[in-house]
Amino acid sequence: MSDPDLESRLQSHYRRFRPDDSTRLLLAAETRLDEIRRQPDAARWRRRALAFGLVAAAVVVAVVAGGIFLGSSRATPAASTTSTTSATVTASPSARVISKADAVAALKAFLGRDPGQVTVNDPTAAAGGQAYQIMGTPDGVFGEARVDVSTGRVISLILTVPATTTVKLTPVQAQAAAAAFFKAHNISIDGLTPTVKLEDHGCCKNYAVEWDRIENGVTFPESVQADVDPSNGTVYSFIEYRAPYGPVASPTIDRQKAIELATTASGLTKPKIEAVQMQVISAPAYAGTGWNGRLVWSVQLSDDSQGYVAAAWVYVDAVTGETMIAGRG
Amino acid sequence: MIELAGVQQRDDDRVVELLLAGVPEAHRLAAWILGDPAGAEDAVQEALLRAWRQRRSIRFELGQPQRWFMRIVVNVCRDELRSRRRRPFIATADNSGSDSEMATAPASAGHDDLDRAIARLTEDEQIVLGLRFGRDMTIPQIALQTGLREGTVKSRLHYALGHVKAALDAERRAEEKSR
Repeated sequence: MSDPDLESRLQSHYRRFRPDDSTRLLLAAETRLDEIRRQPDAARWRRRALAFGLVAAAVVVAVVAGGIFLGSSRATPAASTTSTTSATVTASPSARVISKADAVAALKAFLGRDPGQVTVNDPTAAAGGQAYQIMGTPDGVFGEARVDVSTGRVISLILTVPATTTVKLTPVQAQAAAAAFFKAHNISIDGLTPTVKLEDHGCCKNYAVEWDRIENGVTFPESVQADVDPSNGTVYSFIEYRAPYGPVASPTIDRQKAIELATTASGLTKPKIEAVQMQVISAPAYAGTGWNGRLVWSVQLSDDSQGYVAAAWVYVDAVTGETMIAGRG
Repeated sequence: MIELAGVQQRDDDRVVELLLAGVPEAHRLAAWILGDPAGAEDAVQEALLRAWRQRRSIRFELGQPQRWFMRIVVNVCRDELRSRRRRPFIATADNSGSDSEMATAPASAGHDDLDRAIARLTEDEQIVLGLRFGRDMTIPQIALQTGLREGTVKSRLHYALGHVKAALDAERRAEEKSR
């Protein structure tokens, strides 16, 4: 159907709706996106806490069932004749369960002040066994904390997340601030290797300070992490995670081979290497898959050849060369 | 570390850049489809939210990220048009009385009957009409933008024009009778 008069009328009709200026909308959009991007901070920590908690729970089950170490199945003669490390951490056998009131009291002692109105959820899986999740109010002194039901220790905490882009501290100063925080709260970082990274979320910046157990180039599931306000050195969130682990077999797959295997498995068109490290993995998502406790090459790849950034994170078993896609972004 | 923090951070930066760059075009697109510049701003804000939530799916959706965002804008507009159809008929010209552009539109322009005719179309017909005569897109471009086959776009456009013409004819006959 072609009706020049009608089409001409329609063109004239629609011309009225052309917005002549999108500046106001653009400013509103920037503000909105900034607001949205601030939210992941808390969510990220919750995810970490949950992941670490579930990992630890799985570990404890393994300890109870196996009697000695997580990954005792790895300690077969073939795999354990040569060991990359002698480091081991055992789980606490304690089964004491504190009350919710005790958990709140522990949080109060940690904060050094009354946490205000709180909601205490039933225990869920956490490092060392289980932990109470304590939620604060949006305008309160803290956002979320987790308290170990056996030890009464505060194992993670999120205070109010600052929205600052001012960076007055150097990385060394940020690390010192985090170390002082952990020392003041009797959280050991002895023997752990620190890394400091200034994270820029657009709306706000923070120092992510992390101590990990790294021995002979292998990262173990033992970590203490803090987020530091770069404008004043305040630690506004932390997680302490220590999972038991046992002796680890020597790798037979070298770094280059691992990258080749990961690249093939990723399916990316033009993969770029973002990070490669050897680690012992232990995550709830892999329960029952046979991957928990394995020594792997963790290879992170990205590909921006298609006009957007695609990413793949691949585990390569450092002994067998078997691959697993751990995540895509 | 068990997260792709660095990669995701850069990915998110890129998504924000992509979305902000697309705002002016999204604004125009929504204004033409909805026939309402003010409502278009709300639609773009909603589209930004949806796009952010779906940002991880960019690689699955389309090879062209901007087109991915514009398709979300079109979907938001479709929802808004659907929601308007559930409400009692409101002429879009009346809606925007406070809008400067609408206020300056001459009353004698005779758009009211066209407003009513377009408002009676289905959402999908209104979308192809807005993209064709507002955004001045060709049929292949509309197909690419909406994900429809060219044949479908052609038939929707055909029916939309037919329905508009029929509605205008009906109004004209009713007006002649009332004289």
